[in-house]
Amino acid sequence: MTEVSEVSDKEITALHQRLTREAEEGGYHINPDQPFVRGLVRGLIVNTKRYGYMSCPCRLAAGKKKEDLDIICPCDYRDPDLGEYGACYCALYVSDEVLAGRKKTRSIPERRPPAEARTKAPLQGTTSVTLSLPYPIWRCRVCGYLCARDGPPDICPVCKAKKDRFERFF
Amino acid sequence: MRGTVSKSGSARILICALFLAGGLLFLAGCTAMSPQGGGAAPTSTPTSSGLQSKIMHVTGNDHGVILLIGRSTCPWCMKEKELFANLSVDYYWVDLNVLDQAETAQVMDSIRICGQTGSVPILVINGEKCIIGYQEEQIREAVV
Repeated sequence: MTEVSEVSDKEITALHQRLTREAEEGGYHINPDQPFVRGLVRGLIVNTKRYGYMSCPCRLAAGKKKEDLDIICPCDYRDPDLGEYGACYCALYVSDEVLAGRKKTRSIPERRPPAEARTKAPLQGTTSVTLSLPYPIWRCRVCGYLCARDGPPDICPVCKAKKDRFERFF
Repeated sequence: MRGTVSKSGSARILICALFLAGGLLFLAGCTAMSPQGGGAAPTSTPTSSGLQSKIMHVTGNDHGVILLIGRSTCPWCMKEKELFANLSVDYYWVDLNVLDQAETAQVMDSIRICGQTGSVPILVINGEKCIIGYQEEQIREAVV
């Protein structure tokens, strides 16, 4: 298999701008280190062309969407990593402190469980509590957004994660 | 020492074989590269096909058998290659992006000691020590 390497500057700029706009709308921030981030954005485009989805540039993708859902950018681990380290694993997203220049990004420990643990572990946030509700509650695995409706929204209004990143919470 | 391409001798291949599950099959075809780090073109034409031809050898000062597993989509991996270039470290590099599923499984299986999260960069030193992520201080201590 050969790498899909044909990525133009125009494509990188377009995705970079979209991610920045969506991040700011949701209260998140893209890393201000332009050369570094353009490298990451290029990686996201390469992965999209290769796998059909924006798998994390710094993680090995299985190539099967179902197995890679947790590492589709923005990944399930972004928010806890932002809270603890000020950046997500690849450092595409950063905290207020990093954006303001009060803290530097660095390579951080991997929060993603090993493959075996991922397949055995129940969905995060599931509960055994039984409630009688007029609508089921859906939770965005990326940012924690909750909504009560028959099915999950096509796109999370907060973090823009797609429908398949939602889990039934209640 | 920097820039020599004489490190892929039989002794080194044997050491490689000892710590990689793929054994001689895995590293026997290591390809010599110029030592500039990320993106450097091979200085010799690969003579074998498959996984062997996809493992690149960057020559430099000998600090043990060092294998860097990464992805060319990952800027942290590129930073690690730049660090090795600055330190003139002799190492082997495999880019998971260019491997097929079976080759990837072979590489990942050979580094079980590092865990299986699939996050890169993964640095394996003499088949004993594993550093996951661009941990600059740890890397400097380990390779200098």
